[in-house]
Amino acid sequence: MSEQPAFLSAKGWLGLIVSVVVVLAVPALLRSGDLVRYPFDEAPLRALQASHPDCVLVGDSMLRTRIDPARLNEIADRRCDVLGYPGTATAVWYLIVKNIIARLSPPPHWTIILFRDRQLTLPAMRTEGRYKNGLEPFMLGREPEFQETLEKAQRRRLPVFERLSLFIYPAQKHRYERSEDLHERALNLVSNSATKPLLRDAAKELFDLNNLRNNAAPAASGNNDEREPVSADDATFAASVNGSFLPMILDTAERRHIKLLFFRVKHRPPANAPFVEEEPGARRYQRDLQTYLTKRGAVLFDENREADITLPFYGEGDHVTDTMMRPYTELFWKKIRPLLSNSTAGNSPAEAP
Amino acid sequence: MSFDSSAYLVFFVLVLAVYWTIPQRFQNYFLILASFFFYGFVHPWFLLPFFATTLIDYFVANRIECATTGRRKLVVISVCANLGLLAIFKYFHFFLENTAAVLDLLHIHVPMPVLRIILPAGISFYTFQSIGYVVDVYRGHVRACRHLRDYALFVAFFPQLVAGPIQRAGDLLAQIQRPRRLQPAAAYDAAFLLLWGFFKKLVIADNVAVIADKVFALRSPSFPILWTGVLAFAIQIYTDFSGYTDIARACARLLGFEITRNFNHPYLANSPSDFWRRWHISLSTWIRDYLYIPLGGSRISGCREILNIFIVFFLVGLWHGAAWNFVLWGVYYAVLTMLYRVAARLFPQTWSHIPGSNVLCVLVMFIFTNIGWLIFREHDIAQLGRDLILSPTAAPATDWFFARYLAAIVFLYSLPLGFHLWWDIARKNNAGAKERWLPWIALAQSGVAILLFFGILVLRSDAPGEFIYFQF
Repeated sequence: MSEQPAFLSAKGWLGLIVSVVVVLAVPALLRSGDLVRYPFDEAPLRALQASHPDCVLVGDSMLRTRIDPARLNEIADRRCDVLGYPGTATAVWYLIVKNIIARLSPPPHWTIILFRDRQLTLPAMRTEGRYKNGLEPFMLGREPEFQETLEKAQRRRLPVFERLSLFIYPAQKHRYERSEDLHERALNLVSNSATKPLLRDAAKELFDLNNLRNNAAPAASGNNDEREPVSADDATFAASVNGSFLPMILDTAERRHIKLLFFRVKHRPPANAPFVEEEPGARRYQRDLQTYLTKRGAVLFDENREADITLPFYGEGDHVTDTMMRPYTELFWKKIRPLLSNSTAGNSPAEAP
Repeated sequence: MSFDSSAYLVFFVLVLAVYWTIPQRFQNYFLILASFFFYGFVHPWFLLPFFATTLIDYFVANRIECATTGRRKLVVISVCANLGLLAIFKYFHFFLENTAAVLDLLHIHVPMPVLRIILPAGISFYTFQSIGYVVDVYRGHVRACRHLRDYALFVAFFPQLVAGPIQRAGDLLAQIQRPRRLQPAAAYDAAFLLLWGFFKKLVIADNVAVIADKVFALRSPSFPILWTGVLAFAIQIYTDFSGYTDIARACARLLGFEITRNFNHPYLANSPSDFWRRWHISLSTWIRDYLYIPLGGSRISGCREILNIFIVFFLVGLWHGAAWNFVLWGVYYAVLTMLYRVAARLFPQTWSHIPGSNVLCVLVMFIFTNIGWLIFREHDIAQLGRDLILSPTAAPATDWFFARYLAAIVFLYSLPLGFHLWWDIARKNNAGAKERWLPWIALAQSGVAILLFFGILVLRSDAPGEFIYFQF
């Protein structure tokens, strides 16, 4: 092998080092700022302004598959509206409380939030990737306070290496948007504004769960993401509450004199038991949550050990089947009606049968 | 440890730093330790079959070189030991399953033992590499390696351990046995290759994989949707495997080694034989040198030639996995190769005079390759049968429309492959470019490197998958 003269080699190494530094440094300087692509969706606000509800229910698919709004308004002694958005979690619920419910005049007396597990203190849950699109229609402008809480929570979830990488290359924050842009370009290549909706409908129909093979359906249903692993930091209530949206929801409601009821829905019970037996850590968490909410003037109802919600109520995962929505709504109203009359009530997980 | 994990990045940077700092006489020891750590990182027991292969072949090869008689028996011992390990870990369950099925057909119900063995990553690769070494020693192409240290490194060399390229002793072992130096130009090329490999895997392969996975999850896809999914898989498997190879070659180059190229734009092949000269080159040349030629190659009578082609491709298919779709895939290429040979004999030189005939041949071969990928990807044989007889006329118009959209996504993600092809051709054509252009080429390459790195940061998939060839 022919040897290079030492000075040439030194020049070569210097060139290499400069090149590597430039390649690594330039992307660090590229920032795409805050990309908010979807404007605030006024429709739910207008609908609530028109109906003047006394009670608004907020939640994800657990609410959407459980509560039949028509039946609820038939049996309830007050006007109740339902804002159930599948695939959402506390980040969206906070925005709904702040940007929709708290802006109503007069505001409703009650807001009921249906949740599962430790959802209330997992602020980053369902906020990244495809879930990002679900956040923006509830954001009014840039929402700096919200963004700060969210970004802190998202960073906390990442391993140290990825956190560092995100810090150096902030453009990575908008990966999902970039991928959507590329898909949009592909869409523009093959369709025009008239045919785009057709294409979206075709996609929904084609990849409907019923069209998938049996082994692919559970993964595609998205019903598994709820049970995401909880880090040690998020496992205890005391450690996770301050970085979450829960205090912000409570503060917002308090400012507008809206009472809050947090309704923890029951998990699908196993075939051989009336309910899922929770591990001690989860029970401790629920007790701490109860204490905290009571102190803040809110109410917690834990349905997990309620014997009337049995296995036949359940369809896919923790969702309630369509046919059981009406009876579930009736049982739900029966349980919460006394709580709405007496705001200091609630059922303590520790005291539950 | 996977190349696309942050653990590997940290591991490799540390290895690189220590490797070039320590004295040369310790470098091989250090690389062995690093390779063992890399390979046993998740499942330390993976090292056991690996040690068995290394020790058996090391001693057998040395014995072959010293022995005057019984050399062939020693080769047989080595081959049986290696293939035995492969059979236990890779094919035992497949064998039991099929034996039980055959016995069931004969109404003989025998309870079969259930063994859940995790397939040690890369076992097919290092087994073939080690067998190749023993045969080379037997043939006198290379000297038996005297130092167990060097031989262990030859088998364990971490950049190519898990998914190749399968190295020849005459090449890699020779590099292991001599001192290595790193030149800035080689390091520069390696860094670029590393970026390109990561880009192919993280941006192209993982993103088009989403489409392929979705389509192959459908119970009854229509003709246009299925074949768009197959096209996505064709791009996925190429960029996934060649991305891995590029990363492997780049890492090896940064350690002062040069390992063989495994791909040469395979979708530009104009015949099945050409495809196998461009796809997984290290496997196809291994099969050619250690199986096809010893069987007589193409210099024998028609029937034997057909049989040889059949045996070779059957084994290529089986090498990829213990499942019938892989076997079928191999047989498919055997049939295709035979048909092409028959056509070439019937119509010699007919096509080559017609302008554009090569483009047509490439297009036809690309279609055949995609049929092959459908067989490769579809593990359910009944479903495969349904897929192969799908009629384009039975598909609804919306499916054609939607397939165009999916194909457009695949096209956009694959665009960099087109640029790479152009770059490769331009570089080959300008191999003797005047020196005054070199700084500009280097500058352009740096610009491309920035784009690749930025692309990896912002376009990499949210759903990264394992390298496909890890399972083989």
